[in-house]
Amino acid sequence: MGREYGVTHGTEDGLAVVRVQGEIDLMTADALRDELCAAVQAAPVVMVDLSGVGFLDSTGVRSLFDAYKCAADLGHHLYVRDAQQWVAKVLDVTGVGRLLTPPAPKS
Amino acid sequence: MSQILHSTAEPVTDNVVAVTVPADGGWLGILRTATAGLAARLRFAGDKIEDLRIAVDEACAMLLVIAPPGADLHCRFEIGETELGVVVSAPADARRRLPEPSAFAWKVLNGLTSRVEAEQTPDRATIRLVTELPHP
Repeated sequence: MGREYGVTHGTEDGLAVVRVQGEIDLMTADALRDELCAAVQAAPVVMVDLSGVGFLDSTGVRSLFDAYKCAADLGHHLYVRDAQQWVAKVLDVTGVGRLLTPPAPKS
Repeated sequence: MSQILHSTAEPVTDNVVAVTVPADGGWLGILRTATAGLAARLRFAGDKIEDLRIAVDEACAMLLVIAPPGADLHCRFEIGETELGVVVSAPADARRRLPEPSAFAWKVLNGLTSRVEAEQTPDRATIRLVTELPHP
């Protein structure tokens, strides 16, 4: 897995998906926040795929939280999926993980 | 030779690894790699290596934000008998403060280490974090 930060936008079954890769720290957090805030303005529901993120610290948590608030202000939603174990741990220990958990699929 | 035998018999209380880098975010990745390398040498388990890597990054990132341009960031790993202490310090711009206790960064540091202490004088900020060494 490359450490180089990057973001790709796509759709899956009509759902806007933002795939993030690389390391999210002080150097890349602002760029991620700007990308995600733009994404939630363009779509009512945005799924952020974190499977390619090898490192995330509290500056990255702040970016996700700010994007969550950008979405909420518009009545939109931002969720994350497929965070690696230690990325999920940082999200959980800050309390932000539960805000970003997608709703359980309706059965 | 007798000196070598004598020194290896000493408890490892004076083992210190010190790293100094420019206080610039571009060096965070290097510090994370150095931290992970040291933790692996100290036989930390995989998830504990990751905890320490994140914790040191958090402490350094907090200092980088308040350090004046051109400053150095000091990172000192103190390998004790049962604990590893990491002391991170940098000059601090007098007008800028470390984040409030409620900040995400402190939540992460508190969640991933045994204890954390911070001190800020008018011209310098220091964060000390402590984590347990793996049992032999």
